[in-house]
Amino acid sequence: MSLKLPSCLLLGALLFSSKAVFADWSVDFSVGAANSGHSNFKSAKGITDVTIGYQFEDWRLFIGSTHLKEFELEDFATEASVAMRAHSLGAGYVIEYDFFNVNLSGGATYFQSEAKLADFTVEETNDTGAFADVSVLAPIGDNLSLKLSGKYTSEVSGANISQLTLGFRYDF
Amino acid sequence: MKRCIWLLPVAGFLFGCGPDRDEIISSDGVATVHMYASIEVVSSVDKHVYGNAQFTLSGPPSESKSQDEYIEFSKSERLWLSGSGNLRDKELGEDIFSGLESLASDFKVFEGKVSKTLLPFLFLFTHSVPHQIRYHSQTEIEDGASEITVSLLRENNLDALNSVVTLPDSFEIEYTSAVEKPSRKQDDIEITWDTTEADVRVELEVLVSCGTDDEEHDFLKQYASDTGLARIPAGWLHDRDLKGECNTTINVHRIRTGSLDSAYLGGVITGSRVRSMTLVTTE
Repeated sequence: MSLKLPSCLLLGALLFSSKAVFADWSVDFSVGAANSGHSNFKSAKGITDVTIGYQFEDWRLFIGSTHLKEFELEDFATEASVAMRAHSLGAGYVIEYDFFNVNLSGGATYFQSEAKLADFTVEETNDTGAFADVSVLAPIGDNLSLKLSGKYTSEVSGANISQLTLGFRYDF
Repeated sequence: MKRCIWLLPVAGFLFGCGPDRDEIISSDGVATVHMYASIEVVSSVDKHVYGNAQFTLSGPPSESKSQDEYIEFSKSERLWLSGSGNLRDKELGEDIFSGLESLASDFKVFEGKVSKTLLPFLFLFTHSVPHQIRYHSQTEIEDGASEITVSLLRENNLDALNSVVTLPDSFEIEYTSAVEKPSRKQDDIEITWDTTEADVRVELEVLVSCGTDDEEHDFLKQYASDTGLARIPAGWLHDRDLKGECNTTINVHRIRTGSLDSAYLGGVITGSRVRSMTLVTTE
């Protein structure tokens, strides 16, 4: 529902424009790892990231959802971990080169966190942070690109989250 | 069906009919109000605090017979040992990572340890079966901290969050008898300590080990009040099996009874500090 309005506006602009412009929907799927910035917590492995974007000329709007599996506390007799789920809204600029392109993006992320101590949920919190993202995309098929992405989110529930993911983008 | 009834005594014959024994039951479906809790918290000379706990159904474990039902907590239920209150009251603050790290060092979960007993099998053999479960945990406390909380968190039943005991004050023990190597048969052995408290009782545990014989002989004496003095009378440690010079370890337990959470059927929580010394005794 939230995509209809920007889509219609951009489609309208496309129809009334005198010259041909590039506009396209795309879906990204990536997996990777994340670090919380807390030295006593292990990196979260096996994170998954799904993003739906709309690119108009060199600009791209997107919404995404990331599931960060648990950040586990190291070297403690009692198991402790923080699991996070993030929902992002962002915009970026696409720089195109001959064999790849670079996406520079930023936006806001809404984090839902669950802190557990030996399977007992101590606290569930929500927080919002700003993020910056750099992605490199290399086309590998008609509509498919390989995507390598680095994302940094500052000050969410006391953590600065750095993510590194690898995945694909499919252009419709 | 009737033709198979003769199989019952045969099965009893084959598997052996041992005495009634303790059993372990799951906490699922057992209301907290039907649990009897036996909890002890022990601190030795360092900052470590050890927790031991057993839970029995509908009453205290009986010493004379062995038909008690020991409760094993399901995965969703946890027993916690802490020097800083109970877990449900805790908040992590804005930095949940640092808050959780701090909580993980304050709160330690109890782990269950199952003990087994041997039962006869086909009269010639034995097989081991679990019969009791005891929970253990350990944590560290700050200097000067002495209030320990044991809290039971349950998902589908009533919590028992506040079983609390204040450890007796820290103390030092001293051997005050004149003889350097006292005789177990002829000399009194006197131990004193520097702190006394009105609501504390004392247990004296003496372990005597005589070199070549690995077996330790254990003597236990209880004092209803804490006077700062324990006297082992001549002859009390005398045993025909103990010969010559023996290493004699004296453990002084100063014990206070705490208050158990009212959610339980009943039980007891005690907190004790232990100090030890070893001397050589002669026959």
